[in-house]
Amino acid sequence: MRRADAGEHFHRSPASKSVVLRDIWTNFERWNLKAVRNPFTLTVSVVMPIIWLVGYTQVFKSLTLLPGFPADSYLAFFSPAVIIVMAMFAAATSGMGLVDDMDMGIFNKQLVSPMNRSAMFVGKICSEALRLAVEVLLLLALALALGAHVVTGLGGIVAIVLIAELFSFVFVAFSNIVGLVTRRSDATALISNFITLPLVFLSSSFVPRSLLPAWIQTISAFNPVTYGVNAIRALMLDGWVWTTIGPAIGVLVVFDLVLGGFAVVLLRRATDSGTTPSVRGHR
Amino acid sequence: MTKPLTTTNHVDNRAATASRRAISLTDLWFTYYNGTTAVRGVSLDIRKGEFFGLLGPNGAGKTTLIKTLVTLLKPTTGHVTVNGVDAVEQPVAVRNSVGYTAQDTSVDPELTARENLQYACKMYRVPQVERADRIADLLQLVGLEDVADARADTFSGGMRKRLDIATSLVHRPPLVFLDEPTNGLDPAARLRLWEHLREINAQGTTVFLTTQYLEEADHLCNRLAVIADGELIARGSPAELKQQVGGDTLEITLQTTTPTDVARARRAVLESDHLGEDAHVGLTQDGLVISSPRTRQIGTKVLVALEERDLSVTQFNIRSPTLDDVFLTLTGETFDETHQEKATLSSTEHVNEEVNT
Repeated sequence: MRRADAGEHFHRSPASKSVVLRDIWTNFERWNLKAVRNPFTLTVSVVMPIIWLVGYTQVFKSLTLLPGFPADSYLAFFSPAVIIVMAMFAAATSGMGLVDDMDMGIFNKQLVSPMNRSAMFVGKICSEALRLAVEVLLLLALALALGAHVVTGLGGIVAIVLIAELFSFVFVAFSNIVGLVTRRSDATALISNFITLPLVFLSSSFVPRSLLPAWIQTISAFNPVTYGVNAIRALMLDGWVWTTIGPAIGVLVVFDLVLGGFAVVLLRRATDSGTTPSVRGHR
Repeated sequence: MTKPLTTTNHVDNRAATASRRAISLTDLWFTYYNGTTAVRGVSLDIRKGEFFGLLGPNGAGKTTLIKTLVTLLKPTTGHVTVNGVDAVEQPVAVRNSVGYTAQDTSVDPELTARENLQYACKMYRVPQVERADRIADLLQLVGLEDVADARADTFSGGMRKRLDIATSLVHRPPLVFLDEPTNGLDPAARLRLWEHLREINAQGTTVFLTTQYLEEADHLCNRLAVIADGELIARGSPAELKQQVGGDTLEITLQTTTPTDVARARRAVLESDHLGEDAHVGLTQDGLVISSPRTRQIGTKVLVALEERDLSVTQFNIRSPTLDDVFLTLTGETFDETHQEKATLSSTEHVNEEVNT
């Protein structure tokens, strides 16, 4: 009989590398499927940045006439900022997905299974990274079609996607932290979206840093948006300017490690049985 | 590397007993971080193949107990052994050997029934070659073959629950936990689910179910424990538990309720010879109340006996003991401690006293 001697073969060895990779793939697939099933979210997260791109470049067109403005076309100047905004919008949904899984009991279902804990999150983040890469490429294609150029060519486009990912991870971590602290999907969406606008204004997104008021210049030095925008802008307008790109990557990595580390601590606590009281649990 | 779970070289009686046990709990306590102690010193053994029911009101500790068994919570103190494995020391081994259906239905609404099952198969690392067959079997088991490729958000509550249960069976666990599986289902869906659960148990799976309804436990389980405030206050077969309450109750409303008529009716019933020795006949405001372990068999005869003496019955009702009755008998308290409930309760007690005289 199939269940008669259950005991022995359930004592499997600790998960091997290939098993972990398969677990990552399992979750990667699930989140990809969910993304496709959610055309509304997908559409909004692409259309919104397009509106930014077209709208702002029309409104601020004449800014390039200012003395000292470093670009001839505002479209080329502003596209990097839109890529960064896109990365922030995409990241904001990450924590929501986690909280939704917790609300629906799917999180506990995963915890009750032998699946590798880290693989649950790594697979999910990989899916989000894939989605962002597609979105960034779509936006770049639009910008190029409208007349912008990427002076660093194909290699530059790859680098732009990677920097967008590096930048996005800061906010993926942030969104998950908010989700794990509030355990509310609406709060996570609201807070994650709420920080987007101020961070964009308090950076070099709209005008070069030298044209910003002094106090915003000071704040922008601590703002990850500044570094993401500057690095992508260098790649689009100026070429492989490592004095800009190098430090920007360094700063983003530091942000990633700090926020990512905090998120991992919270996730560990949420997955380690018995250390957190169940939020919505029944007795 | 496979760790031997018990020494098999020489005969060990304890090991032999353990291998027949699906669950063994020893003095389990669980206190949440906010200080609430939800489980207080529970010890319990469940044999393989049993359909076990844990009965108790909301907040009694049922879910906490299940969560410690499925490794979602670590016991504060005490030992939890599931399928012969210590749940704290080898949680992954336990996870591989149990299925768990939480109280709140947990299926991904954006995925189809088949996709939900596929994901579950992957979670439990079911070999790819076996997946399609197993998913087909499970869809049939829970009666969802026709909607296999419809998204779960188009399903009714009962269908979702059945899908949820199916996803917890993909790895063919020898032991499944179901936390109030019929909660919120309409009566038809509930009956249907009962059938599926019986079928699962008949296939050799040990079932651990929690419920608030004695009726449900009675239908499904061969052994029960009653939990209140985190402690097990009774255990036994459904029949044994109901015996403590004294069987079903027949309530009769008479057309004329003058004291002489009611007394005459009572005499008629007592003299009718249909009642066993362990039956009680009591008086209420508008008639009689009869309770006996054989109430259902004697009901009609009692009504006929009354009719023969020209005592018209306007209403009658046979009622099973509810969990509340069991609870009342065991603890002297009802589930809900509201003032109103207590008031009704004391009048019930009053009737019961009369019945016993």
